[in-house]
Amino acid sequence: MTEAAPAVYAPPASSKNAALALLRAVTSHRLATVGLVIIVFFCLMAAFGPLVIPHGPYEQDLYAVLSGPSASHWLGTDNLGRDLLARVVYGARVSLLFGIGSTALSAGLGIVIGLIAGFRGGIVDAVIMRITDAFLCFPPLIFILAMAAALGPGLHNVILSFALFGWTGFARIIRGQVLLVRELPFIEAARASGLSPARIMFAHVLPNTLAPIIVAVTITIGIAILAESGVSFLGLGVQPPTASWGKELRVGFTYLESTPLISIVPGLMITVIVIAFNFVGDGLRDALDPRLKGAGQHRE
Amino acid sequence: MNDAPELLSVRNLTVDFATAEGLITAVDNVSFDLREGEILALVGESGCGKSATALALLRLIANPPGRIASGSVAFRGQDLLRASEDEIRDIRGNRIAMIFQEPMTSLNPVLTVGRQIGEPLMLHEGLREEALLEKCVKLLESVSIPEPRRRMGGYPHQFSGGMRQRVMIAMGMGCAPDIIIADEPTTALDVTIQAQLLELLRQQVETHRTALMLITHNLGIVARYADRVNVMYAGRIVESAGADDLYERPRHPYTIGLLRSVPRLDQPTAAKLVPIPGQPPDALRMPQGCAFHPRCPFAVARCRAEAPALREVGAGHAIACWVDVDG
Amino acid sequence: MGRFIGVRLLHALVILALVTVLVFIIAQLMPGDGVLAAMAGSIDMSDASAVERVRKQYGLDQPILVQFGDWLARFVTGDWGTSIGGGEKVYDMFMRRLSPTLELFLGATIWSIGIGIPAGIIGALKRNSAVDVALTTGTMIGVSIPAFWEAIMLIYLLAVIFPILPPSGYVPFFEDPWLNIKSMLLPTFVLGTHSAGLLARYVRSSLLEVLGQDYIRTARAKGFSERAVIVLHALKPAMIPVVTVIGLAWAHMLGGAFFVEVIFAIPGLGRMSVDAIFQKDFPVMQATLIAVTLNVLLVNLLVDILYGYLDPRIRVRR
Repeated sequence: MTEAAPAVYAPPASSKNAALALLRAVTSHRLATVGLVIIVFFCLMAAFGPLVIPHGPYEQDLYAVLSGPSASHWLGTDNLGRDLLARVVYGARVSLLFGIGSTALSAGLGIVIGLIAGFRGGIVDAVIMRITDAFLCFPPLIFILAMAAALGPGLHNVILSFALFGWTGFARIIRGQVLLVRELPFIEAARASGLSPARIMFAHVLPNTLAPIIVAVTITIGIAILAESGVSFLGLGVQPPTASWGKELRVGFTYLESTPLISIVPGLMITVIVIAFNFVGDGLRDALDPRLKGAGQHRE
Repeated sequence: MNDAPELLSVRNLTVDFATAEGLITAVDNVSFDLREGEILALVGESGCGKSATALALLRLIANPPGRIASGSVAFRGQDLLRASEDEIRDIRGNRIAMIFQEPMTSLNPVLTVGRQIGEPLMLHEGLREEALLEKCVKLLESVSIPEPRRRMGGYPHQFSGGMRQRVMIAMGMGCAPDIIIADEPTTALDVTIQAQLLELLRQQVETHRTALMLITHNLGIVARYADRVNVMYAGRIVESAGADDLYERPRHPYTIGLLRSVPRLDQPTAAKLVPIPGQPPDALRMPQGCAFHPRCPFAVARCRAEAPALREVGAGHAIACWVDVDG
Repeated sequence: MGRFIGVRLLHALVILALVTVLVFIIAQLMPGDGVLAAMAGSIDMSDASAVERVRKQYGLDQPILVQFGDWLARFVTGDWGTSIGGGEKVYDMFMRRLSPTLELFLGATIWSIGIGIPAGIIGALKRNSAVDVALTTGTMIGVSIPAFWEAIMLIYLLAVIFPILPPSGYVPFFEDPWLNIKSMLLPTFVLGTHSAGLLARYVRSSLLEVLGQDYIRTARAKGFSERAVIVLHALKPAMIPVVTVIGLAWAHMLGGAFFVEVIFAIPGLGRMSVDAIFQKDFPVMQATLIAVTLNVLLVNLLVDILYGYLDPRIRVRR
């Protein structure tokens, strides 16, 4: 039950091999494979779906407001007579873009800050770590909502808010790994041969921290998608008329008794894609770091 | 000693472990007997299957990944490998007790020492409250733990390594078992404490006619305490003999190598220590024939082709070797 | 023990200080003056003296550090300012809305422990069986499902299709206990789902880890039945770290309460916060954020102390 020391990951031989190893890691895990298939499906849907479905997301069919499924509107229409299927498919774009974008920003910010904390140590490290502690105290959603409200509504502000919160996890992972890797012989050797600290960071430390970062990225994308849908549900995310699952759901709630499909479909989409990312994250964690096998999402 | 009634008779015991890379046979066709009041040593390097043998006797091999593939273990005529769950539980901790290595991890960190010592007594002898307390205090006294009454309320981490191992021994002796299986009971303890603890076990054997199975890699301990010795290599018993006989005239090349590789007090000349060349075999890639042949200076063609069975080479002395190297 | 708590307290205070600063910064980030933006409807923005008066009234003409000091001093003495939206004292407003939220949290915690711990234990004991796979999938749904969707679906199922439970609304317990419990059943369940999933996952892995320990083998060697081994030797060490997860779940519940209180029309802190965010009612927002932090720090402190009490190894170290 004692906290085991973080493991050191061997640097991957090449990026191509690393990608292959990751794919193998995922496909060797039953549920992770399911997750990966779902993610690929959603990506394809977001990319090519609009080419297939007969309606646009903003097209209003005023003769079919809040209609049930029909030959023309396979999933029916919303309160403005817009095709639900089209809204859901375009919603996938928003969700995936948000999930990936905000996670990338979080990871980037977290990696830089974590590297600084780990390499500089001392007071810089202490301050950064206390800040991450303080962030941990906030339920993420409250922080994101408050930030989004402060910055004003709109998707890019929600992305920024999420990143301002999300970097802490990445910073902690990176810092922990830096502290560990810093003492390894090959870093000593790199330093002795006159490499600059920046070069050592990027050439030697980052590859070593790849595995836990990839796991964190996968799970963070899921959390981000959940956060975006929540913020949009409350009305602070994407602005009309852009389609978002969370916003559709809010409309659906109003017309729950007459047209339940508007509530059911977008919610199902969110749940399924978040589960898919969590499955892949779990699978990767089991494969990349056997020590954590079966551990929950929160390991603080 | 040899005509004492037989307590335990192990025949053709085989234990497999399923690993990600394949099936490992940790214990391969092992047979031996244990008599009342006898101290039997099971000797070998780590990974030779001696601990797995001990665990298998009480069906304590974790399954999965382990599995007792075949064999029989007769305790007073009852086959433990085929006994019902209830029957074997009635024997565990009661008639046959185990003392594990690593007293740090083998005691439950969140339960008091008193409770852990008392459990077998509650379970098998139905002792409760005062009687239980008295018995526990007596047990702790018998393993020389000072202030037993007070220390019963303590937790394992509050005890030193030697004290913890005493607790383990007290726990094992509680129900006055017929057999104590001690798996590396003194590893990682310093020499004086080792001697005290082994002396303790020997007293138990002498006063209660308990049989003791001592599992160790320490040949010094074997020489001093054991009556009989089974030497294990790569899951098999390669030599079985009376302790004195074995030290005087080891006949299996592995035993000979083993004895040459450790300093001995009984040899007047400061004989040179000679390590056995090479490494124990990889359990996944066992060599054909005798598992020891790649390291054996006496190996002949037959050793590479066929694994030798244990055969009698003298009174109570058996080896598993095609070549009988005398002394 | 005293020293142990002292260190934790100090740690908590440092974090609290950092959070107050953070909260203050968030308020400063608001475009323009939050107050003025919010009051745009009620005062004539072209009347410079009126604007100035409001700025003065809220201390917005002072340097930032002074504003921060003033605000902090007032906050500590219980003067949390006046809500911009309703003109009510934030402190009173907060206290009035505290009890529905506390009831919600309590109910959710009961659900999450009641479901999460047994599910985790069963999953660990029946590892890799069909039951385990079903539970793993179920807990994964639990941690992944958005609270608002779950709420809406349950309302649809249990209030619309099968009208067993009221779809929304809140009745204080002391007014009508039966109706209170009936109307809180769904909201507490929805709020507890996420932590139930987390708990189940954590309990499962914790118990599996414990079951692999040497002392479990010792217990088996004593002759205990498998059930006794688990109950007497495995559960306690496995459950100790779970306390942390329960604390964490409690700490993060307010996030879920936002949705649950909005959807089920419960007049609690979550709803108040959402309203405050929309109305840019920053005195209320600040109070909420600080209260949230205080709640988290308090819970963490409690968890630390409880942990120390439960785990004998820590009891000595402190």
